[in-house]
Amino acid sequence: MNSSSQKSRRVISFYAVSMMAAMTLLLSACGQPQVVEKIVEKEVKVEVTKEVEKVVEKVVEKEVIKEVEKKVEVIVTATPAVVKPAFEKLQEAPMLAEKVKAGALPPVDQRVPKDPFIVGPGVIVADMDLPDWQPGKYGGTLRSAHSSANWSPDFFVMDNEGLLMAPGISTEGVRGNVLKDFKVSEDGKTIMFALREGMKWSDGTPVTTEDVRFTYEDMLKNPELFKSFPARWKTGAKPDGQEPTIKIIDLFNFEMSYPEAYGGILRQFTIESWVGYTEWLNPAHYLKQFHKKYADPAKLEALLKEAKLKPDEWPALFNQKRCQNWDVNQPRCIGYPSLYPWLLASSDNSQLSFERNPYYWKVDTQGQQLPYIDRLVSAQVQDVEAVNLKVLAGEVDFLRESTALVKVPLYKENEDKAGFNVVLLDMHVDSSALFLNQTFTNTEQAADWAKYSQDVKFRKALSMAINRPEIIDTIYFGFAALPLKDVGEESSKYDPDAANKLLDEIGLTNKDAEGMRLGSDGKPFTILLEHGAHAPDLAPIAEIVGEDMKKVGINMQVKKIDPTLWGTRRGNNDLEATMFWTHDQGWGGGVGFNEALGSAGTAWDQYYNSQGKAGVQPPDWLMKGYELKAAWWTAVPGSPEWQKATEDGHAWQRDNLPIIKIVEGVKYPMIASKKLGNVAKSGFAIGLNFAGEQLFFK
Amino acid sequence: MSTPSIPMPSTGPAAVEKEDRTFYATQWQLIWWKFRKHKLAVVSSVLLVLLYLSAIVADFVAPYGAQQRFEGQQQQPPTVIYWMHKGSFYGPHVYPTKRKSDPKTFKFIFMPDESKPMPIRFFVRGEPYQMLGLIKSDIHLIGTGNEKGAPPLFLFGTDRLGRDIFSRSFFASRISLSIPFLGIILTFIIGLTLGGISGYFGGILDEIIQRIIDFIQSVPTIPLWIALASALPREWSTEKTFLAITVILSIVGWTGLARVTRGKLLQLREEDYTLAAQCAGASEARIIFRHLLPGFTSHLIVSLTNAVPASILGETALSFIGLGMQPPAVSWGVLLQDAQNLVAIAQQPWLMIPSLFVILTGLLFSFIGDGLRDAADPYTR
Repeated sequence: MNSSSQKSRRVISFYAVSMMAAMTLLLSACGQPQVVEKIVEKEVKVEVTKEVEKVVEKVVEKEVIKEVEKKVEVIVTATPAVVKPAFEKLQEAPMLAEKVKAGALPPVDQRVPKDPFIVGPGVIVADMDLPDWQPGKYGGTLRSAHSSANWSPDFFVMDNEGLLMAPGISTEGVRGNVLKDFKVSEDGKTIMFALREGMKWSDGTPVTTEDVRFTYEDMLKNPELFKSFPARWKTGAKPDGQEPTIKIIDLFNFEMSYPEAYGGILRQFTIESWVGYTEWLNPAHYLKQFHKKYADPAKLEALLKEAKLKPDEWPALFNQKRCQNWDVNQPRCIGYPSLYPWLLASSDNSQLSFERNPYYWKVDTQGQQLPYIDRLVSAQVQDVEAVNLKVLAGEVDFLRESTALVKVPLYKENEDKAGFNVVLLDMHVDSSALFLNQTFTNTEQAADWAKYSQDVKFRKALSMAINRPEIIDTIYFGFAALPLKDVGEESSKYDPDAANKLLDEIGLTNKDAEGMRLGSDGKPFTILLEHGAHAPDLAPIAEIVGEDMKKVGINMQVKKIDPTLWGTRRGNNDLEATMFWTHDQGWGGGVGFNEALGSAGTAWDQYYNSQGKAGVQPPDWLMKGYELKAAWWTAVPGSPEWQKATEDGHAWQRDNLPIIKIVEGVKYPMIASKKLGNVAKSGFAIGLNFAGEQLFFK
Repeated sequence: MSTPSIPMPSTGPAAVEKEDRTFYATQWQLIWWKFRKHKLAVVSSVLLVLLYLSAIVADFVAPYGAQQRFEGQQQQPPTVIYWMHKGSFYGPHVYPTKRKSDPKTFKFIFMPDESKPMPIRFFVRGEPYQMLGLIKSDIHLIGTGNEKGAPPLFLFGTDRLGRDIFSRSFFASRISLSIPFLGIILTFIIGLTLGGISGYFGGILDEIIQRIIDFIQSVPTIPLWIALASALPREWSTEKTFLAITVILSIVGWTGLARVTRGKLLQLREEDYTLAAQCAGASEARIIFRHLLPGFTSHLIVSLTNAVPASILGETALSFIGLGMQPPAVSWGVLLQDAQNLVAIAQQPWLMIPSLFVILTGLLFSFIGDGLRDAADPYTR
């Protein structure tokens, strides 16, 4: 116990200095930690300065454009310096070595880029979450299970690759991934990106800036393919933000500049919200044959005919042929040039199987090309319960999406028998929340609803009427906390008396014989809560909340409806209240902004997103929220401005309660075979899921 | 068809008197005498009446309210009832329990505190209620009283939210026993009337009714159910929605019965006694309901007693798959929704106890139907 905590402290201090430098030296320096630390500090300084100098020289030498030259001088590096790998020779999996021998594949050093992504301790999963990272060994088949056709959520996450990444899918420590490196100019307007020289698509074609240019010029800027430039890539992630311009410098370097600072672009490039590299990097050599600008007209016509499309419908054909990161489980994408660790090899009704990508661009500290595991196989079963049956039968080595906290005792009982461990990690979508649609009008009590729901005192009263400690105990078995960040101590306290007082204060004083507060029409003031039971905790929480509301005289009708109907009603501003999950800090729009802004009032959100063409103009306090969100996205992740924007966002939520979060910090059980190595002990569950390439069978 | 056997008078005055009674008794008296002999059916009837009664007075029978949650008592197995306290006889009693979470298995363990026995008593004061909106009281049939610190009595254990499953089962029977029954009655009224008209009059009327039946029978029920569930006013409570759907479904569900009624009537209207009634100038309604329908009472009883449990099961099944009742409404199907997962099967089997109510009700109806059929069939003795 003692020694391990010492070890983790040591490793954390490494991390603070420099991840990459520590990695190169860790292996050679095992056993003499104290000496190592000194060496590391020295090494890092040298390496960092060298790198910056190199880049400056390179750019100046080439004399690209004068403007760039100026900017380069004030460039700041946000990534750890790239160091030469410590290994002598690249190694590859036995199954690939055989193919090389047979002449079916080029040798490994021609498949892996010159400067590959080097995986070591703290690189994919932070040190504190995985203190005992070790290089793995090749082989094995990782088994999982899923319940919807051609959709294995766990393998999607495992396969997905972003242009940049941050350890454990956290908010800080953004570094290169598919892209080798990036540098942000001091004014935050320009970012230089470098590709990995020698990186290849899974069909062996080199990845170059032509792929970036093609994506930008011929896809994103082509009005036939993209009606409008995606808001995500506009400054502040706003629909009315400014677009970037892309400048290709050479085969492996390009530059993205915005008219105003957009620091959040770095987060946008990481895996957050499952954004993959396919947003900016697509195999031009393959897709050009379906693009009107490049394709041979006769061939394109034939292809269109084959797909039963009209001659002018080439965008439809293009989109059918293009595979985005979402499509990794799709049978149509077998053989599509991609950059994932595993590629879909076969898919039938009963299982999806993936095989390693021979051109994968990550290696470990010993020079072993990743991934360690040869194959992924996910069996399709009828439903989530059947997925869990397979877990209990020991037929699953890895599972995230289909687990549930309520099943933990059941998992525990079968852990040893079935040969797996239950790992309790953090959930990224943890906060189930009560959404009150303040712009709802489809009720006889519309005037009352607008008056009360738009009063923050009313929302506060409802929040205080919720018995959160009971929910945490009953629904989450204690593995959750009060939402102190976004609801605050006062409003998240269970205090029916205070809630009653607030409700009396705002004028809901008349009650009927059963103690229900009356609206201005003399009927009980009724809130209709309709939920789609999207997650297993939502229905019971809604039930408890409904009962709690009756205790303070609010007649809340709780109904479960079909999820599709739920979606339609939500889009049409036709849900009065609902229960849904919200995203954790930093995931999906930062500080939970997306839900807070989008769900306070559907018509307000429509107004904002359509830039005033539809919906109802939002009140000032909500507009302030949109401003805060833009400020959050403008700041560079991890910078002091970013920290402040984050805190402002939480404070804004606490002051206004745009949505009423029920809990925070929910734990999430994961299933990992006892034989698996490099399984994280803490952090996001999706962080461990994402780090599939470093898992191995012991 | 077997020929009706005429009872042969046996010797002796008592026997003659008995046979006389048989000759002059009405049809219903005959049925009743015969039914009385079917012991299983009689017992079942008594039990069924009790079940319906308990549903009506559920507030009294159940120790707790349907929505009453006991914090810290979630997922508790059925309370153990002790008889001996500290080595000597004490009478039925329970001990307060303390819930702990086992850090290794992550299971809840309930540790009884054996120093404070609490006797189980009848007619105890507890949660106040207003039965059927009329009778205000707080007396419950069974329980441990409402003194402070009295350990609750969970005869069937508690669910995930800490609610007493025993109490909920009785509240659930209110909906589960009444709404389907109502639906069946409607089905019978419509089915018999339209089937009777169709069979007795024949001709163009028959043709029209039969084509309507064809059309209605071709409409699949589950999609119809889904459509109706989303078409009814949203602000209606789940119970009200379900009642409405049941009524609508029985309006479209009478077709099978109407077909059978028509067939029987086509056959019976050719009988001599029908002709006799017609000659005597009886009205058509009188002929159908007085002379023809009794001719296949046994058949009707069988379909009725089969339809009621089928309908109760139907409610349970629909709620089970999430189309019928939904929480917070309480029905047997809703209670069993909680039991449809691995955890319930492997670790909380008491969640499945409400299914016993469903099975019991089904059996009771079958036994009564069996007895009634035997009693009502004019061709058996």
